[in-house]
Amino acid sequence: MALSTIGTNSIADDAVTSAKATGFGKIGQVVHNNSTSKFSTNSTSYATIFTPTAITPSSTSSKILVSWYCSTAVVTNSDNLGHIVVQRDIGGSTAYILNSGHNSSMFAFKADLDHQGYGLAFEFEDSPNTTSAVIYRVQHKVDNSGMTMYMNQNVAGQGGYMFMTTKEVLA
Amino acid sequence: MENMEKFWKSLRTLKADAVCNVEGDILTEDDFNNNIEWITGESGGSAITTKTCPHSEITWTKVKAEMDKL
Repeated sequence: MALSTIGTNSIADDAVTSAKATGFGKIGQVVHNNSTSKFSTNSTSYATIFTPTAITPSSTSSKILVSWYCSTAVVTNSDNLGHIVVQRDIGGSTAYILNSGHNSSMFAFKADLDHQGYGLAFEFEDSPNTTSAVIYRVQHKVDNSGMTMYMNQNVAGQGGYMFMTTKEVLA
Repeated sequence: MENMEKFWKSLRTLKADAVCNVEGDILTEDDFNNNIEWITGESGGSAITTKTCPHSEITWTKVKAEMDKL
């Protein structure tokens, strides 16, 4: 049978579906947010420091890859810790994810006696199983109110660029 | 002492058990009124907050006076 070539201009855009596009990269969309806001808290309940723009999956089978960076410092009056957690919000219904660590946190930080702080980066994959808008909110707290946790800065207010990138990974 | 260290020390001097989430430095009355979330409770692990200071012991004038001593 003779082979023929079909030019790309002859292929309708809506004919190229995910099912036909196997072997390609599978990132469906990317949402990036950054913030220069600096926070500090002595709250023993989780308080929000970062609320990015929502990402809306195109399919319930999609996974969301979440990447985040920030700097942090913890000043303590004891051996207690500062904590970070991610709260997933789908249409106002919230749930903590990846929070099985100490004191229901994702990360726990011991005090830095030099007050210079740490850089913090994480990446995780989530399966929200929805086509509604999803927000991954970052929150922080301390073990006792005599402590202070600084986010996106060290104690001297230096630092100050945090960001989150969310990517839809198509099935 | 850094600005925020002064703020936190002053806050604890005025009311040791006051808890809040602060955005940026607190250097003016506008900062005090707009950039502090006062924690009044907890719901499902998250803080319940208000921008209105619920503590009569804590005002901008009193906080500034304490900060100026440091």
